Order: sequence, then structure tokens, then C-alpha cells
Amino acid sequence: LTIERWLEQAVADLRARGLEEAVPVVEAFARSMKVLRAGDWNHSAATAESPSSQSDRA
Amino acid sequence: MTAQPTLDIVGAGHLLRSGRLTSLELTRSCLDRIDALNPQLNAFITITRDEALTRAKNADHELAAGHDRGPLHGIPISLKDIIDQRGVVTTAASRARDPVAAAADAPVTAVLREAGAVFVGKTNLHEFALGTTSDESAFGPVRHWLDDTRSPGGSSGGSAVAVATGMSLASIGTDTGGSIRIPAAACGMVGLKPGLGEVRTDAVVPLSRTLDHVGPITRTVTDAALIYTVLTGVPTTMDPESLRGRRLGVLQGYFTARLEPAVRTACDRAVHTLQEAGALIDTLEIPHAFAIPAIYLGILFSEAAAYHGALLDERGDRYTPGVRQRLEAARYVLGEDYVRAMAGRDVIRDEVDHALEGRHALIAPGLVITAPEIGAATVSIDKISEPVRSVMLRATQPFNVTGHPALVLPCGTDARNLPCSLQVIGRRGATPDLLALALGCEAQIRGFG
Repeated sequence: LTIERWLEQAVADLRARGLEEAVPVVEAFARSMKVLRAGDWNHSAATAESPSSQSDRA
Repeated sequence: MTAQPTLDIVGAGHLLRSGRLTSLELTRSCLDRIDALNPQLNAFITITRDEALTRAKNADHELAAGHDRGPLHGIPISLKDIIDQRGVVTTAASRARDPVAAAADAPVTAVLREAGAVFVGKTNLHEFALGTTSDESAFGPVRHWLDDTRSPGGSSGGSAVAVATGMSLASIGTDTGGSIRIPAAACGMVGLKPGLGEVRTDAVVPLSRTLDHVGPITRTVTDAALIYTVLTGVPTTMDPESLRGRRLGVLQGYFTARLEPAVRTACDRAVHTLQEAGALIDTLEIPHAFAIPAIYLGILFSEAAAYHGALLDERGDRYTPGVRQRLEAARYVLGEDYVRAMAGRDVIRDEVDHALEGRHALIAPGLVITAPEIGAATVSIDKISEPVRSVMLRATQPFNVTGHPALVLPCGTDARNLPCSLQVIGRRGATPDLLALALGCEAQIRGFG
């Protein structure tokens, strides 16, 4: 789910629930999502590098 | 005799044990202050007058009989109204919760009770601790003790005002992003966030299960150390540590890029004073500090939404509007972004650990502004306008993310006589060392006024 699509869906849902005032908060969080997703600590499934934790491996 | 508003726990203890003051007199003095000041400052939601007077009388009888429970024996203390106290409703400053009296003490309350503390009441806060200004409360805003048009900070705003005005000699607060340290800093008090997990959070209304901390707001570092020892059972020193040869790293970048000028001046002066006292000062940055607000928010929102979701569906209209909006927005955070935030948290924690290698402590501002006006949504620093909440969280939230112990202490005032504050951050698992160092810092910095 891209940030843009996520934001679009969250805003639509908030409006449908009569919570228009919360829209600026999700818009602000979308900016935080960009930082989280761009973090150089994230691991990509496309690369050979893997997370150190094995706790969630089947 | 009437206790002075500057009386601290150590001073009161001396008076109690020398027979020059009784716990009943001291407690009545605090209750009188509550009666006189609370209508204006709104620091308390519930006043437990009868229980306080009964416990004070018992404390006096026990002392007279030679049964001394220790430094908190007979000392009036308040609890943030998010911590369960047997027989008293825990409101969390919200109309959304059921008004049912707590059946039992929270562990932290029980420990204080066993130590002889006298509970005078439950203090007002930012609803459900989700805010830094204590003005979104179902019971009305808490007002700053030096200027009632200003916020005392939050979320433990009532606790800081209670201690600053002598309505209680100490207060127990909670700190998820700075909610002990922010109001302590704004009100010129000492606020200690112990290390993550050091003080139990059971029967304390949660905001974020992995960021929440419980700790004291006090007048002095010594008092904070006394309460820390009671809460954890871990011994601490009461003697100020010499600063000679102590290596202190002053955090730059994220922590000081935008500071209110008076705060910058006060903190710079404090650091200079510590250096003159023999501390070895250097500066450093936390490489990924820019990501801290996003990491914090990703964790906070996810964990707060998990706790509040059902109540929002059932009684969302009973929350204060701003708190409801933030919690409703929090419900949209994706699991994958929560995991990214938690992974980022490990990075920040490692970087702070690394920064503390070869240093005794880190130094930062406690709060990058002085107390804001009540209701202000934004604040301008260096002509850049930012949300008040983001600004107030900036210097404190990193150490909720990392779990390091951190303490704020006053280090001066701005032109309006509003307090400025310095933050000292210690190694994980070494809160007593942080307190010993902070005692040394306090001995040097105090007197700026």
C-alpha cells in the first residue's frame, strides 16, 4: 500500500465516519510514514541482506 | 507550624523527626494550599482529604511509637489521576471511562503506601496522557503556577503544579514522550523518568505499552532519588558527586537546532558552569535523530490505538475533541509501519548507547521552549512555526524510544521569569549513577534563579 493510497483511503474513511477534523492528523502521519519507509535500517526482501532476528521465520 | 512552599521531602523529614512538625500539620498545610490555589490552577481532579488526614495521624502515631517507615513516612504526595489508588476513581482526565473506584492500589501506589506516604489527591492531566499541555482535560485546563494564562506542560501538568506550589511535596507522574519531564521543566521542578521497566506500570492507564514510564516530580534531585529508591528498592546516594573529570556529552543537531533563545542561553550557561566545576565537556550528535519523531509516533499511535479502539467505537464523543482526533487517526497506522518504527527504535537505542561509551552522561535541553500560552496550537522559533506538541516533545521523546533514564532540573528563567531546564541522560541500567551525577549538577547549577 503506497503512502498516497493509504492517505486517500484513510481520509475517505474518516470523512465517511464524520471525523473530518482528524484529517490533518493522518496527513501529518503520512509525512512520518515517509521517514519510516525511507529509513536505512529497513531490510528489503529483494536483497540478500536479511534481518538479524529470526523470531518470525517459519 | 505552617509548612513553607519551598519545603522538600528531606527538610520535612528532619522537622518530623525532630518533633517540630507533625505529619498532620504538614498534611493540613498542603490541603489548605489545595483549597486556596486549586480553584485557580485546577491541578487536582480529586482531593482525598479524609484519607490523607487519617493516614497523617497514623504516621504521627507510628513515629511517636518508634516505627519509622523511612523518608516518605508522613509525607504528603499526590498521584497523577491515571494511577490506581484503592477506593478512588481513576479518571485519566476523561469522561469516557466508567467512574468506578479502583478496587486495589497500583503496585507503585502500594509501595508508596507501605513507605508511609500520605496521599492528598489525584492530579489533573492531559486526557489519557495524550498531550503535552494539560489543557485537553474533561476537568478543564491545568494552569501554570507562575502565569495562569500559560500551560504548565503535560501530560502530568497537575503534578508539576502541585509540587511547585506546595500542594504536595512530590507527585508521581507518567512519561510516554516526556510527560514527567516536560511539566517539571516548564514549572521549574525536577522530573525523573527512570529507565524503561524499572518502575512497574501495572494498574496505570496505559498510553503506549512499550513507551510508558512511571516516575517522580519533586523539588530537588535528592527527593527524586529518595522516591526512586522507594519505588524500585535500588539504593541511591544522597551526596552530590564531584563533577571533576566527569565526561559529559552535550547533544547537538536535532536537540539544539531550534531552541527558544532564552533556553539556549540558560542551557549554555549551565554547561559552562558544569565545565568550570571540572566536568569534561564535548559535543556530539545522534546520527538518526532526525527520524525520532516518526519512530515515536509510529509506536505511540499503534499502541494507543490498540488500547483505545473499542472505547472510541463505543463512546468516542465523550473524549475531548483533540485527543479523539489523534486517537482516531492513530487507528490507520499499518502493521508494517509499526515494525519499521520498532526497527528504527533499535537503531536509535544503539546510537545513544554508543554515545554514552566513554561518557558519564549526555546533556540536552529539557524543553526547547518555556511554558506556552494555554490553547496555543503552534509556536514560532527562529521564525519557523511548528505545532506546540512537536516542539515540546522534541528533547524528551528520544529517551522514551530508547529507554535510557533521564532527568530534568531547572537552570534559569526567561525574561518573563518562566523556568528553563537542563536534561541529563544516563546509561541504561544505571539510574543511580545518573542521580548521583545530577546531584552534582544541581549543586552547581542551582542559584541561577
